[in-house]
Amino acid sequence: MDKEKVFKIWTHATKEKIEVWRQNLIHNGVKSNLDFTLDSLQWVEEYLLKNYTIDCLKDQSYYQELDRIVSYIGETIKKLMTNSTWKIFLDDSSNLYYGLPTILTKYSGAISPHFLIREILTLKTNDVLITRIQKAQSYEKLIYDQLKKNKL
Amino acid sequence: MRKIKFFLRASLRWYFIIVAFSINAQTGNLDGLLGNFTGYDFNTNAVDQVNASKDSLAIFNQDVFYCLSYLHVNSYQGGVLQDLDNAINAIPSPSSGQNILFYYHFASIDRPEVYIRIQNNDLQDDQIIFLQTYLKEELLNKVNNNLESVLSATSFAQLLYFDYLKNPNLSFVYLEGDNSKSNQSVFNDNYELCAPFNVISLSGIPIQLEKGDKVNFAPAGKRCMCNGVPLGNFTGMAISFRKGGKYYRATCNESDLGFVFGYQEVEESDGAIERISIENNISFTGTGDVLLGFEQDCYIGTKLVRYSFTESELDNTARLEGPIKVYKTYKSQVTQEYKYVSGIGFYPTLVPIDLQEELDYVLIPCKIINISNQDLAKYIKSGKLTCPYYYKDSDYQYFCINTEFGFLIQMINADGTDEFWLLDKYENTWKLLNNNDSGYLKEIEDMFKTVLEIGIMVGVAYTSFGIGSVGMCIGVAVAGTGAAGTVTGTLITAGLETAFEYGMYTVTGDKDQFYVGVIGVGVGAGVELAADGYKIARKFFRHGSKKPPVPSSALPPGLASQSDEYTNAITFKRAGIIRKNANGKTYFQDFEVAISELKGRIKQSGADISDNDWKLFIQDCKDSESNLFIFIDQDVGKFTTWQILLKQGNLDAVALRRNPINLQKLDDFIKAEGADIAKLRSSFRNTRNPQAWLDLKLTKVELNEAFAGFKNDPPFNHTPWTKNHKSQRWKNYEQGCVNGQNSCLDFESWSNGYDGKIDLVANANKGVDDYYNTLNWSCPIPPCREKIISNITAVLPDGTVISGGRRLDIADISTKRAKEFKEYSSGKVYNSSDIRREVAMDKALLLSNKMNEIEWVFKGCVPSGPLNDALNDAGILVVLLQ
Repeated sequence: MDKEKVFKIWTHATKEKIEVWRQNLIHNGVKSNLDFTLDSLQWVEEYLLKNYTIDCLKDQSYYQELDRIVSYIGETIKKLMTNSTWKIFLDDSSNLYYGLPTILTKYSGAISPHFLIREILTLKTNDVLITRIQKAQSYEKLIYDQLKKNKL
Repeated sequence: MRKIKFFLRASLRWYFIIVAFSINAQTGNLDGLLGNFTGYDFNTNAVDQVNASKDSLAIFNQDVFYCLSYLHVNSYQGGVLQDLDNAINAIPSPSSGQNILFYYHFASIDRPEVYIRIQNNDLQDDQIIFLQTYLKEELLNKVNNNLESVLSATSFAQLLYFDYLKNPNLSFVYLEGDNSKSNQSVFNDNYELCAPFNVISLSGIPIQLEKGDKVNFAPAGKRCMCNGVPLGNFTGMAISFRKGGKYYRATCNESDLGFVFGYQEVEESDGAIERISIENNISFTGTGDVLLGFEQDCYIGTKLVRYSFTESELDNTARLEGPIKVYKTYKSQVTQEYKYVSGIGFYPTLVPIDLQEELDYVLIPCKIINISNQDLAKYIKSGKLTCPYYYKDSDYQYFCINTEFGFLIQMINADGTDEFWLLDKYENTWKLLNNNDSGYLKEIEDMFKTVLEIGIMVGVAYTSFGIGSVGMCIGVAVAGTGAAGTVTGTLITAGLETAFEYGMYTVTGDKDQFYVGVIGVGVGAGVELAADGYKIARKFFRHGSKKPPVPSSALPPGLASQSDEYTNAITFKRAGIIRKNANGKTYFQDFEVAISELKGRIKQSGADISDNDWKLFIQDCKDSESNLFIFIDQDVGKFTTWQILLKQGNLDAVALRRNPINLQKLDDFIKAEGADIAKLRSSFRNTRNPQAWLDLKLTKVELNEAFAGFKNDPPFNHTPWTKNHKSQRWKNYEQGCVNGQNSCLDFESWSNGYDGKIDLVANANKGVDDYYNTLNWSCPIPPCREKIISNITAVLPDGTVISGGRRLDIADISTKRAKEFKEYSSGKVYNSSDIRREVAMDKALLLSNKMNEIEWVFKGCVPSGPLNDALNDAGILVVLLQ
């Protein structure tokens, strides 16, 4: 099966994975607010910082949940950024996001939840997701305004 | 017969190896994390086969994330589907020919979850979602937190089926039995349930079967028999299906060689539960239909591994593990294949599959020859006959396999008595294994255990060749696609996914022997069951080879009957090739004769052949994994193309010219552009990069097509001396010619000039590499050179909005730092249109927070005033180096 197909299957499973994660959190007595808002991403970042370290990214035993978190971050960004979609870059192996699921925004390029998770665990500033998404939203507006201006 | 049983049991156990895999820690982007989410390996296909275990749960213990069992239902003629909650009440009727595809995803034991995919063109999304949700919930309810016990239960069973005709609604039934804790069978001798059982129907009311309830999946009072002996631990259920008002059920009887389950008609049961009715596509004719195994596809990362197994006795050591692939044969013809729906510890539900669709995995051949008992022994003893082998007629039958101890032969006389012989390869003597000779039996058993440990996957095929003759062939995957069209009654299931590209290919044995198969049939290698199987399997996995070496001996031509094409097709000989005559009949030709004859034809074509060239050509033919000989043999004119790629002492050139794909590419280029052969030879001899030289042999048409693919996506930051770069430069040159800005060389001359500068690219990159090395960055997420960020939208100083990708010379993603390296011999870098695009892109990266810091490094040059201002405005740092 080629990677495009695998990716397609992967994207189709995101909602299920999020649901499983939600149920697991409930099962483990963790209160969450996974409502696909910017605030919920703040909670996700806190959750990551509380339960993960950068070394966890090398440990396969964490991948199951991390994959669900990736799904959630991606789906949330998708909702927050108009006209964004899941995208995988497979044409050029030198592409920064080669072979990774990303959210492709309309004007701000691609955003990789995997990279974001790494950034969260590296910087530990507890504002990576919000900062990044707000910047992207702001940039989207900038380009949109510019395009509108050009048209005028 | 005890020995037969032992042998069969041992064999079957052998077939039921489940290979356990682990995924190596990937070292792709972002350490292991990014490459391994949920088993989807987005970066590499690296999968290593580390061990195997007869523990049937091995695949679940390891990181096998994605095992698919699948069901194709063709000719689905169901009506309206209703769900339990009446949430869906108007599902359109799929028309005939629609496929419904279920995927089941079993996670590993410690992470229980089940994914289900339903695909049906006629179902609306919300209906599919409902089905998925419902099924998932049901399965998860059953499996979650209890997966281990469920999966380890000898009696776990599940069944999904559609009941098309009995119920206008699409029925979905899930059955599960679990008696692992009680260590009992699902059924007792009277087929009364020994454990609770759940039946869930989408179209009806859920049914709870309690202990003691009677289920009529198999007639009461009967048990599945094997060679007349009741199976010791019958823990599954016989699935009945109904056809023409009668029920059929899977069973086992002596007529099916003792270990093949056939189907036989049974009296219609009075079951209270509506059961399987697959009416449309199955047309069993009786006991000739046999089950031959099952398959399960597992995706380890992105690598597909197809597990295939043969029929089992459904006991504790060899129970079914996945879908069953069923082949039906009739008078030597494969008339239909069936594939079982998922199941664990269960009999199959059969649905037809497209035979052609499966050909990638069909492996051939096997063989029946008619020789006497004495001759058989003689040939085997003299080493002229290769096992595996099975023969049966009215007087006797043989079953032979290669073992690491020698050939093992079971001889069964007409009266049912049998002898079990071992040709001890160490002592080179025949030994009769009698009942008291437990030593050998022990050794053989140990051998099988060894095999289990090293993880060979084997397949077995059973074929019916008409009355009185049943053939069997055991082998490991070695052959290719496109085969089944000419194969009669030959079926192989394979333990490895072995989809080879070529029906004809060359294999090289231990002694550089040269084998060639026949187009459309594939090479029938005399695979030694244990040793060769392991080697092939291992090499296949380790090296991803599509053409594994086959170091076994071949079946000598002449030994077998040459009376039919099939026999010819599977016969091959060392150091020779098989040709076809004008009538399409195959015949054997010695390699030396063939190569000599080829030389004559090449000379006739006008080619100049030096002794040294010819010597190299013969060596290339012998060493080539791909079929160089056949390639040239089919068109001797291409010999000159091969000669172009001669380059003294250059191993890259050797590899290039041995591959017909490369030769074809070069030949296409020569023909399309009318290229000068002498110039090409000279050019190739001078290049320091043979692969790049060949890669750039692109026709004008190919370059135009490449340019069309990206012309609307500026800026063009293509890596020099690549296809895209060349196509862009050619377009520039063409335009320049039109504008009078440059000369107007013809394409071939321009192309030769461009290609001749390939080696310069190394110098250009060297400057950046040298600078990068001075930085001493730790680069936690390698590589940090030449990274592309795609889909950037930026604004040029004039307000134009542009979008495209940005190739960063140096970038550390972990710290979000990047550097652009400029080394212009002119001494100054101006704010040209290309440069303005780069600046705008970098500015966008900074604004969107993708980069925190970008530097432009000027070595031996300086930015112009406007460029310097633009960089400052964009927040880009400027660094000057001497």
